[in-house]
Amino acid sequence: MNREEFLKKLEALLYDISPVERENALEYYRDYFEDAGPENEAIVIRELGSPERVARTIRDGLYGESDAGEYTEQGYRDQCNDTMQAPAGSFGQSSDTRSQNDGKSTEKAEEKQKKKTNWDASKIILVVILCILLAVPVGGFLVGLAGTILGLVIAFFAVIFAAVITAVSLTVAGIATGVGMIFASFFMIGSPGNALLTAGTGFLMLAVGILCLIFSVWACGSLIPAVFKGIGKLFRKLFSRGGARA
Amino acid sequence: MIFNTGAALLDAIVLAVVSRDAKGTYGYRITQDVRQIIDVSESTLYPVLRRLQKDHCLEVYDMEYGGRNRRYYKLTERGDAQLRLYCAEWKIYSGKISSVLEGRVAV
Repeated sequence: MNREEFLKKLEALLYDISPVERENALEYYRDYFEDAGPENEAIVIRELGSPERVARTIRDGLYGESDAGEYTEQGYRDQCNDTMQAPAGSFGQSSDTRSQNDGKSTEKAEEKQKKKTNWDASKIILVVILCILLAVPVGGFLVGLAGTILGLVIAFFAVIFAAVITAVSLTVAGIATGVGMIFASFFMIGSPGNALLTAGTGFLMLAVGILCLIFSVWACGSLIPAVFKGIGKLFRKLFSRGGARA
Repeated sequence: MIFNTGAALLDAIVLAVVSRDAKGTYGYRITQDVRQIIDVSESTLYPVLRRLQKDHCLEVYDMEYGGRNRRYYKLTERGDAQLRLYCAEWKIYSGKISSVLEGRVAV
């Protein structure tokens, strides 16, 4: 690689920095080669390493400017030592390079640590978002289920209540009608057929009323407590299962 | 060299090297001069010079040399003040280090 190739490659590598900075850096290295003289061209290229390395140094200089880390006790770090391409002949390099690399690796480890922490935080956030997203349909489902159960329970109670009311009304109506018709039959002496029919119907009504009375008494005494007991049992079962799930 | 050169110390050395020439000096010579003092790679100096320039410690101007323009670096007033600060700090710092290393300090 000669000087022109080196500078061309460097220019291409610096495509993403501002034109002013790029031109400034290229001007510097053009000057540098000129001042070194053609006889030193190969040495300068060898000393600079690769265009990639020089480009990295320039970029690090630009973006590392506000980085307070550069002023830490770890000392000045040549950011490019990891791809050290400097010749073996450069002076007193070995120990210096090693200590610089130590600083570098520490920095890298710190960076890794930071990245890991960031990743952990983002993971937690992701999990929380997923939980919220999942909670919406699950919560909706649970609310719907609870509503359905409540509705069913209310409907059940309503049916029982209606049945009891019906039985009680039938009891009252049956007995009243039966007694009324039996009484009425006494005043139908003029037409015994009619009187007998009315009395018979009255007895029938009385029988229906008594039947309903018996049903009502049984319903109030046994059926309703049994139903309540059953519901209580059902709820206890549901809750105990819920407790076990949690 | 087993001691690292911190960024501040490198700045101080560069400022000192540039200040040796009242009219200013150029990149290649600065690099060669600095490399006589500490072991830095040739690509290290450009970012340092650029930063010092942005911090208004150095100013640049182009002067014709051998049929082309050569960029010269020169200390500004601010750069001069900065260099004096570095010198004072260095005196204290190096004095302490020397004292302890040479065993002249009774702790």
